[in-house]
Amino acid sequence: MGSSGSGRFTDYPGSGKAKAGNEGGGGSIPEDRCRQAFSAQLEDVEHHPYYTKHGGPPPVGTLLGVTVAKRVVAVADGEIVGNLPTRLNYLAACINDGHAYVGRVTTSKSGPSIIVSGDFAASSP
Amino acid sequence: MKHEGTIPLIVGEVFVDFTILASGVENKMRLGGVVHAARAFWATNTPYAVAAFLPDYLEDSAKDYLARFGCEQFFKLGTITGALNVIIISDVTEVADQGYEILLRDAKSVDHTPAALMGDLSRFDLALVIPGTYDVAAVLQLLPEEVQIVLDAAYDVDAVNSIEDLPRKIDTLIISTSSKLFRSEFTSNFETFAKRFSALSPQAVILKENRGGCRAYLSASGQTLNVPAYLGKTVSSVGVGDALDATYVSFLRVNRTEAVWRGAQVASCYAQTTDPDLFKEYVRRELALTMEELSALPGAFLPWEERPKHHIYLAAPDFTTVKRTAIDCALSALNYHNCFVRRPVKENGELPQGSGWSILNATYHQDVALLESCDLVFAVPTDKDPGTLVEIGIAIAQKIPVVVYDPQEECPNTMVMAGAWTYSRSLDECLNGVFDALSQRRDRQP
Repeated sequence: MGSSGSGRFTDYPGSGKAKAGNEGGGGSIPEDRCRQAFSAQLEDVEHHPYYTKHGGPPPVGTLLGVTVAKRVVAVADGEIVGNLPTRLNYLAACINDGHAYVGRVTTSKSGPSIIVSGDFAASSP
Repeated sequence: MKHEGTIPLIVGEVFVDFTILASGVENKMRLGGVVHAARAFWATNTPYAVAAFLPDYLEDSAKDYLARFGCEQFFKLGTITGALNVIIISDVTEVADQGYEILLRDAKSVDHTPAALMGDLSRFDLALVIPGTYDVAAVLQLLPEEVQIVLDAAYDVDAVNSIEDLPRKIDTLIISTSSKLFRSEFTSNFETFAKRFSALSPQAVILKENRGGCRAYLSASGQTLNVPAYLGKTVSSVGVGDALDATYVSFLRVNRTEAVWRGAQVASCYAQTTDPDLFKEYVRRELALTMEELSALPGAFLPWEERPKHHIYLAAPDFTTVKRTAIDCALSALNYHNCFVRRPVKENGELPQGSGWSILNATYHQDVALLESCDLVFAVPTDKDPGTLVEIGIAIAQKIPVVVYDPQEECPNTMVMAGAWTYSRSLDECLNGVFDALSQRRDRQP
């Protein structure tokens, strides 16, 4: 009976690129988080310029970008639509490093609870 | 990072960390102990030296490994005998106590290398000391009088008096909320806790608070620095505290405040990958952010002593007769993080089958009132329990954040998934959701 993940130390610099598997396991080739697509519900939409200028959230299908304005935010037509959740804070460093993100609004709802969510894809420098 | 003085020295033990992962996922083995700190020095481009205790069988591989991670000098302080220095880790994400198991720990002993054979440690003026089975005081005697010591008392320091008589001055004391020392000494607030160590006259006391961020009491100003946690998917929390320590040391002579922030930043990167190249790449990108940019990013900040003020309603079939594994895991994790869980079934009673309408009605209203008084609902819908699903709905309608822990994915339903603040089969992600939601609630309070 053999063993896995414990035959020898393998996590040397430069050693991860030739292997396959899941992050966390002994043989892993994890994906750079800056290159990953993501979905998110935007926060504080009603306090941002897009909503105040247009009187409502952007409709489904609207093209979104991502930028850093102190917080990581989604923009449409150059206007901030809402904050991205803090779990996506790492995007600030990614964007600073030349990565870019584009997306589309997938949910748009007005009323007492304003909901805007989107799907985003990454493009690397 | 370049230093005005000597390169920093890491003092401690070398371990082998063996993490048992889920069935079907390859287990993870890597060098641990001081090696975690070494990886962070390497990732921040900080040259460093290591002075370590380790078993003979690990010596060659540890030296080779560390050399590849930028270690400029290696000193063998002594030999670990009687044990392999292997740690078995069962909870890699620290949703609760990580359950470290050091094999043969009771048989372990340390033979100190004779000073004449060890090499000269007297020229190092900055050292990160990570205690272990060895005699810390004896090792500190090898360092010069004026050495700047950063002591991580997260492990193997059980009482304040065990570090009060060390032969060198402690510049910074770093403690974790998961440590025995913290749990035995912490009473009401961080400042009082920090002053428990006044006999050591440290310039700073840093408290690592896991998902709740970290705090640093700075003696010179008498001020407390609050640094949020930037929560992401935890791949491994093993050694994350050591990564914070090392980065703090890397930046200490640049600026103490920045050192704490950068430490937290690099620790977050270390938690999110175990691939060294990816870790270094994350660190490179993160450190390119200015302090102004970094400190403007909101994160989760929830001090230990404030957590019980935010009541969490447990929505679950919290009965004695049901499958309790997921419920008990959730309770254990929330208790570990000092959350105050309100359990309606325990508080208002577990009604027997066939109870009359009057008692059902009274209990329903008691449970709803309890739910409405809470800051968050943590739901575990085991067996698609209808009561739990109703409670989730009430909470969503009341705009009370709901975190749904569904390890068997029994309720991957539109209303549950999209209505919840967090829906996940991962307890790690659910805990992140708890800290994120409660932290935001805390920020909104006047």
